[in-house]
Amino acid sequence: MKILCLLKPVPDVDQLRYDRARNVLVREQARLILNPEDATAAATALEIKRAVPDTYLETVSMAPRGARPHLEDLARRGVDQVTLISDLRYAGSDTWATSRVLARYLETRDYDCVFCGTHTLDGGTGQVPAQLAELLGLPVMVGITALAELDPRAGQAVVEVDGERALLRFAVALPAVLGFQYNPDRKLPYLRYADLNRDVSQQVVVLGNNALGLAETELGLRGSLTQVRRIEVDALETKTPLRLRADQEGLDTVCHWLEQKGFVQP
Amino acid sequence: MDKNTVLELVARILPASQINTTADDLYDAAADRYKKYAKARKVLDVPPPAAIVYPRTTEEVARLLAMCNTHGINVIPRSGKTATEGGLENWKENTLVVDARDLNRIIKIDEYNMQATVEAGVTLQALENELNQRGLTTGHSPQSKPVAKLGGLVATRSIGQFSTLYGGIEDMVVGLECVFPDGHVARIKNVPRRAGGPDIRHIAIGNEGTLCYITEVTVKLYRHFPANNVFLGYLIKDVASGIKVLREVMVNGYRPSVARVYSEEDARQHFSHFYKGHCVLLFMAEGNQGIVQATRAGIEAAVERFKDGLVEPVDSGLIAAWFARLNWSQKDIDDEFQGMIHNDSHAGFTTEVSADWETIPVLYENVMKRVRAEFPRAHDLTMLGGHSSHSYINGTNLYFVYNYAINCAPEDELRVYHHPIQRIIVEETLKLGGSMCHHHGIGKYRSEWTRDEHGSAYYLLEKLKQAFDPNGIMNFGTIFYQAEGARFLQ
Ligand SMILES: Cc1cc2nc3c(=O)[nH]c(=O)nc-3n(C[C@H](O)[C@H](O)[C@H](O)COP(=O)(O)OP(=O)(O)OC[C@H]3O[C@@H](n4cnc5c(N)ncnc54)[C@H](O)[C@@H]3O)c2cc1C
Repeated sequence: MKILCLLKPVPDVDQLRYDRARNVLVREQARLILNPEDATAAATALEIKRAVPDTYLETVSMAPRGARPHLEDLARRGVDQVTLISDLRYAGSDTWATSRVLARYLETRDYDCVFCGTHTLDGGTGQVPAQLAELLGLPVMVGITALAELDPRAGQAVVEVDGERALLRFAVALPAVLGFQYNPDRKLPYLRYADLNRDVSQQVVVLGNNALGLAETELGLRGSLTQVRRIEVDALETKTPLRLRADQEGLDTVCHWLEQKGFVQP
Repeated sequence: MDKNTVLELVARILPASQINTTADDLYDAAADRYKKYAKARKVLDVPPPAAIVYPRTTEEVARLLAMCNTHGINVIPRSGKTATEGGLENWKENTLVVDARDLNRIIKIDEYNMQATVEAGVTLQALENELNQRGLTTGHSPQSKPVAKLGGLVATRSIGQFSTLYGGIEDMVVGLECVFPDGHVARIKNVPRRAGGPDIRHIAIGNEGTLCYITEVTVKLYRHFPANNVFLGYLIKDVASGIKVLREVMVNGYRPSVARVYSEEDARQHFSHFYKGHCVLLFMAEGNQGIVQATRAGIEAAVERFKDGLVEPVDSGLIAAWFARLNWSQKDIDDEFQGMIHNDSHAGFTTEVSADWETIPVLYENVMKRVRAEFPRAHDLTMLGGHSSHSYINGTNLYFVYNYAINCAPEDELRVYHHPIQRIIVEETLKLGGSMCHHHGIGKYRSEWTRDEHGSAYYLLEKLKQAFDPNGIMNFGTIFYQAEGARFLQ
């Protein structure tokens, strides 16, 4: 079985600073992390590989070259090939331009299934899985909480999706794009001390647009259908604390507030 | 000798109620907060001790130590269990942890002579509570005050947050009682000062349980005027600008109880609600009104003199509110422990060093550069910064603070992350002539540099160990490097 897993290194949003004077997000000093939902997808793929050792797992990331140390660790955690698609000309790509780059690369690969996260921390639009599937002509399912079955010979995957009011089960024809939801209990395997300095350069493939050959008009800002005009950052506001007594009225107020905010259902 | 024999020997000295062999407690006693993450994940690589014992009198301590000395049993003295450098970690199969839990009496609060005598197992908080009711304080206020006990506080040469006014524990101890491995009990009397030969208090203060067991301590007392406290805070351009102000305040003779500079990164984790991406400089002036007002004026003059480095003042209410929540209770410690069981993260690590005024800014920059350039897991760092929090006439300390996303197995965490960073900090500090440990003690994990720390003066330290603990039964591996323990130091 061959699984391709899309993995996006994203800035650690906790460390992003917003420069109000220039109206831009300061990303320079923000540490990169693996997008948590993508990491769940990769962890799921590695679990499959542990259970079925002849599974071949390749991760594919479109990212700046600075992401390389994070990606090299993936090889040390058991990924067979780590592909980094990196080209300065891709800077400013929106989800559409990104999907096109990824699709172009995926067209050159052989696979039974494409894993990815449903959303990214930094964008959050959730558009890439669907656009990619569209470009590749594949079925897509997102919001997956569990993979019940993955059987390329039968040409089918069975997945569970959290439908808020019910857990839904779907059978998806393979090959397909499967987008996972974050699951803190499904973690990438730990790096071991002995592996830390293992040379994995043979398992890392870095390529740019010279290899993919997209037209200049399809790249970066020019190839994007959308553009960021302005980012609005919510200002922090001080809330007035509400003091309640532990009586029926207090409880009702808390329940009402939780319902209003969508934490519990009426 | 096997563990059962150790237990038989102990049972000849103490009743069963003073001997603890519960498996969970022994596991907990195998290591301190240095290996907090591995401990929480149940992957400790060090053996549990044979037993934890709770002597109730100095005499029982003396009999226990003499017995261990005769039979070559390792002794780990223990008080509040807040050690951070491996001082409580066990590297021997046959070890007795001698816990001061039941040496818990406040013996005397002598208001006229301004001194208080307590047993080693009294928490500093308990003593302070008694004293504060009488308008007094020891002036000692480490962040671990609610949990740390007098025996440990003296044994580690601890320092409190008000040190710039009151000094470290070494400035507070008047006299003490301690027990040596051969069972000898030494009482160092309480006098205001004396010139009776070298100051022998300093053999016990800071010995980290490697020379003697401290059973009783007498400390100085001060009048307490918390209502007069004044807080001052400033956003500043960089660490070096803050250090200049600290120096100015100190050399002009002012003694604010708190005088601190935070790097931008460290400020972010403490003062995210007001730091605005800058470094933070803060002070607290304490004492009677006249002193407080004079200290405040001195601080303001120093800030004015170096105003090029100033960004803007901070509302003093914010500093006061932050300060009120700084101490760690046992619950905070337990919460961090619980968190580590479930998450691949902890509250971070620190390495605290000191050097003279000239050296400190250079040291800070050198360490930052080296960590960023050489630390192989720099991309996992979530925080790297520091602060200066204890100043003296000739210099100050630096508290390097760092945290990281833990991507390795729990048992590998220290050698993958903390050790390489700590090594850089220690090497750079020693290269520039500073001290590699400002207040946590050497513990086990800086013992490989004890010789370098002391240079030719190591001779004195070595002779003390040979004289007082010739059989090497006191806290094996702490302060004094042991080749046998090298595998843990990687
Ligand atoms: C949250 C937190 C905050 C902290 N803040 C500070 C701070 O602000 N300033 C500071 O200086 N430190 C600080 N520390 C470190 C620690 O609290 C100090 O080192 C403290 O002095 C240890 O006291 P303890 O009673 O907990 O000793 P323990 O942890 O029990 O022991 C510490 C060391 O002393 C030895 N020892 C203990 N009791 C005796 C005895 N009776 N006789 C001989 N040796 C003995 C032990 O063998 C060990 O080597 C902090 C620690 C924590 C966890």
